[in-house]
Amino acid sequence: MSTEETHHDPRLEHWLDGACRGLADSAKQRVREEITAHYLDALEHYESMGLPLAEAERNAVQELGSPRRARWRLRKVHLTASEEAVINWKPKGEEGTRTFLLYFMAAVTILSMIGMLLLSVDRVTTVGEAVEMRAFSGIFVPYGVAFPLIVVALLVKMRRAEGVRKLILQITPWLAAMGALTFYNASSGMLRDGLWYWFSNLSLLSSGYFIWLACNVFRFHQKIRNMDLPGDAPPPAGDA
Amino acid sequence: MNLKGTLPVLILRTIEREAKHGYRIAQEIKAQSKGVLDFREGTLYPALHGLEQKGLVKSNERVEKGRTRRYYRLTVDGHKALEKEHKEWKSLSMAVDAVLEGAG
Repeated sequence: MSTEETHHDPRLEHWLDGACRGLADSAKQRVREEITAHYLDALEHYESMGLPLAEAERNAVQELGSPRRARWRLRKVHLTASEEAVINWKPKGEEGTRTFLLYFMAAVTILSMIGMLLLSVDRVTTVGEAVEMRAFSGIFVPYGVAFPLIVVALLVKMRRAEGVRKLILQITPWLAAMGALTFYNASSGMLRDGLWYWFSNLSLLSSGYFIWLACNVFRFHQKIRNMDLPGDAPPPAGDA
Repeated sequence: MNLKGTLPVLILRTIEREAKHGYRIAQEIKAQSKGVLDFREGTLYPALHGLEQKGLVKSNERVEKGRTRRYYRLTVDGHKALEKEHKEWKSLSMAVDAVLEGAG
């Protein structure tokens, strides 16, 4: 007993499945190996105290705590499967595709600037003798179509492993600026039309999406800051 | 007792003199604190992996009794970080003691 090959506890498997769900394969394998060794040590300890096997197994798994909490913490220090896919992704078409998508990002930015300009012209409209504030949000409708393409562009930008941290950091303020810009355009309508505007207006939803994306990209950058990534230079030898 | 935020420094202290595997680190923290500092052992590994990413600990695998174990040891940066954290903890602890004892 007490070797990884011969001992099988469904409770431990359940715990490991819960804790490792969504992690990249390399991280999953490492966590599974370490936790299994830990569990077997605990099992030995409880058996040496004279506990029956079933009780020893139960205690050893209980000592690990909540797999959900462990998963939450593991995701902070390990890549998830989707994050690993982003970093390792190599799109076809090489330079041409990337250049096109980067131009596309620039075009979206310029379009939103034009939208701002149109809005400022359209905002004040005379109705009879009264001056009414109007939001011209239609210009932002294309965002709904553009978002998935922007995300693709971001992924392509991030594909160069040697500069992935720097690129991600460059993308973050761009996204935040886009979010702020869209929010600015939509906010006049919010003041006029009340809370419902938050949910019904595409500009505001777009703004929230941009901000959310910016936060996530920045969080991703913080997470991979100290990680060994494909394409990194090997660490200096001889650390004590 | 809630170990929030203090687990990494406790880990660093535990492996200060020799390399240890996760189970032993967990047991030593509990034993040295006489059971007061209790924590769920599944959270030990994210903390260890985080310390490794920061370059404060290094790990290597060893096979013992037919079982693969990963041993963690302190790096030079880890020693410096431990020293710094220890000093900060002492001054914080003294300050809290001073307030608590003076409050009565």
